Amino acid sequence: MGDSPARVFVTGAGIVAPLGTGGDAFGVALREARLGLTVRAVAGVGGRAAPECLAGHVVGFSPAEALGRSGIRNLSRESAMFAAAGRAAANDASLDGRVEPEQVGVFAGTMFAGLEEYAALYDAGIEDPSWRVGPGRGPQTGFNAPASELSIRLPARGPNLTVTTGRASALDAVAQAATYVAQARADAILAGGVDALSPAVLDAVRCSGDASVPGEGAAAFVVERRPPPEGGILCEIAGWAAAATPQEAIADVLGSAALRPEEVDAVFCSIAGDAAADAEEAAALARSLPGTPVHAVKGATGECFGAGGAFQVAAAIASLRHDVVPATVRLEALAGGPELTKEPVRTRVQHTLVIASSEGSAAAVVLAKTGGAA
Amino acid sequence: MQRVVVTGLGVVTSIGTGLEEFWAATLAGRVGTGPVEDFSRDGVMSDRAGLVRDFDARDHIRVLDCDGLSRSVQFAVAAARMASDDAGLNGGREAAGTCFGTVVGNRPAYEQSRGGAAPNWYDGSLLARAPARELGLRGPAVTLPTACAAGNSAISHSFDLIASGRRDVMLAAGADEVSRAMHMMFNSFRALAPDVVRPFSLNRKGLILGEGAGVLVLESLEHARARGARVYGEVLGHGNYSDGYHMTAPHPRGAGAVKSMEAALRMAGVDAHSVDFVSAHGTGTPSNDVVEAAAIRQVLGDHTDGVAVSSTKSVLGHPQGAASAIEAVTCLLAIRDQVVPPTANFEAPDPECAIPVVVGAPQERKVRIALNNAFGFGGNISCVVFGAPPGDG
Repeated sequence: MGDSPARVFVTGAGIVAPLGTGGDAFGVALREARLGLTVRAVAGVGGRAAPECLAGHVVGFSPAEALGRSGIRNLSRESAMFAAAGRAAANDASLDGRVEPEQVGVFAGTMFAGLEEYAALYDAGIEDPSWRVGPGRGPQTGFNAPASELSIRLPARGPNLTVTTGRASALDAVAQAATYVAQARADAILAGGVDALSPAVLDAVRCSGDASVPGEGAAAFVVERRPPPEGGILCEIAGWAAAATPQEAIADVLGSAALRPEEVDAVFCSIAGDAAADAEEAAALARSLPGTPVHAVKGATGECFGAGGAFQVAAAIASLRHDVVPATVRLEALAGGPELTKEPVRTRVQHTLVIASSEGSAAAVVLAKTGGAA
Repeated sequence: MQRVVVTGLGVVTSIGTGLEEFWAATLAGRVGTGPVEDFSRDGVMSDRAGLVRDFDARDHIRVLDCDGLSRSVQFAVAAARMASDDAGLNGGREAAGTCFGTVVGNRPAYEQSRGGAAPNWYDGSLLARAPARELGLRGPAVTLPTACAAGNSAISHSFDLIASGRRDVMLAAGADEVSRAMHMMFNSFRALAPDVVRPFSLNRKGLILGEGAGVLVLESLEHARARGARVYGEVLGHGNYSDGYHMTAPHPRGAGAVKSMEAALRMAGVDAHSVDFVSAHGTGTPSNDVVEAAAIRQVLGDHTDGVAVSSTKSVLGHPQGAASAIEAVTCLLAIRDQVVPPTANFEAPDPECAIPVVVGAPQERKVRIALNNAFGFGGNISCVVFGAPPGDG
């Protein structure tokens, strides 16, 4: 966990978010304190639909525009978004031709990939006396469909992983990718997360009783050991940790990055607006990193589940590049938790700590500025 | 780097719940797949499944309320409890976590109530969290839903956590239940066998869905020796490469399979000539078996004819995310007892699958190194190498 001597970098990013598509658009929207929530109906699969709801909807995403017209007919929404984000990240890092496909892996975090597809497949099949369902959509019922689709499209023939650990999913994927790359099990890994709004996901949110406003999207980052000689490094992954609790994750990631708490310039947390889900992480941050500016990106995007941690990473990268910790919109600090940024904090941002946690799992990374003074 | 050993095993399967019942049935080639009334309808090419029968979660689960748990989570928790007892763990005192692989997680619970009151059908992370809660383990609790490679993925991830010193003990596992949706899906691929699963055999027709759970207690050698734990064997290495080819069809030359097996052997520091037992993915489909056989021959070369190959799916059907975990249990028991179980239902050799499959009776032989293969949809592939207990002869 970051104790290998190899250094690990992020060299490309691809984002499909309620705040816009593309890393720059996302960062600009955060700095302008824009809210990515709208009221829209949610389409499902096979005619399933959910009524209008307030959420971080990704508006105007076209799989055909992002991926081309062929081979997209059977893609789930989450597979399409993750493939688009991954493709964009790979382009951003100029991976094609630079790294062999056998050395490129894909690691995806998700909570609900395939959930809507499973429900729709079952609903359709059970109405048919012979249980007939179309063969094309079956594989999209899998949690692993987004990671697999991206690996086929790039192509990426290195290690392939899907992880589902609640809100920690995407950061777990990034932390795992850093481990694999540091140990030279792959030269580059597309790591991130995805989830899509759907009737099934909205049902799940309702059943879970989670009070946060939901959202959707995908983000992927190219994690590699040997960045292109001509530059193009977005940041360094200076430390990473996967743990059982947020307190443990913070301690482990600071150890991994050889950083003292006071050296952390900004925190990008997974606080989303549900007091019960947020409480442990909020308390851990208040205890371990008092006084450090804390940004909650989910104020702007909603709780994006498998993509949440990836959006936190995107926000952290933007802050490293522009030396500003954006204001948190919409969300208020929890009792016993840290203050969330109310105004943009303009300061030299050298080290950011990104943390996400759910019951049973917490992950954290330290992202550091590169290309300037260490 | 810590060495990683296996100190406890637990299984819930269609041929037995509990280690010795399962193993006796496996060695006898007793087939656990059979007709399922619900699956018997015109136009569905097979009515078969490998269901877990005579299983009462209350016999095994001591802390959690069984009524709130889906079938797959019941399997997971029960097998975890069995493995923990088998390892003599005290629960909570060790720095221990869980890592569970799965294909569909809790989603089959949707089928009973169409999303209404289904117990947590949407929460895949429960597969790993519920066992951790049952046993009072500190965590982390990680679910890896990497299709049919999932059990081996969980073993690989757990190995990494222990080898790096992050955890002393991990429960590495896989769990899944039979569902109508997956039966519908495989029916749509025309991939189901109408009678039984015949891995690597001429006239094989396809797979049959199965269910259950397999749990391995992985532990650092240092920790195991300090508490005098019994050691089944050692986890020597793993390899995980993707076909990057197609969502359901394997790469025609088994590219990902070859790379994963080679990578696992390389990490294990084991030469191809040392492999004794190959626990094949062996689903019994025309496509998997021919590609896998060729890949095994490519990796093992002229040593291929000296190994013993077997597929536990011949008796279990395909227990999905539990498959490679249960098959890992098979590897460890093969090492313990120096015997390779037969592949059931074998009719005749297929010239396109020219690998030495054990058929008929179990084969007593030296088993010090076992290679466990798992090939999933979307090209998710994971291979694990097991070895005899350290210090053994």
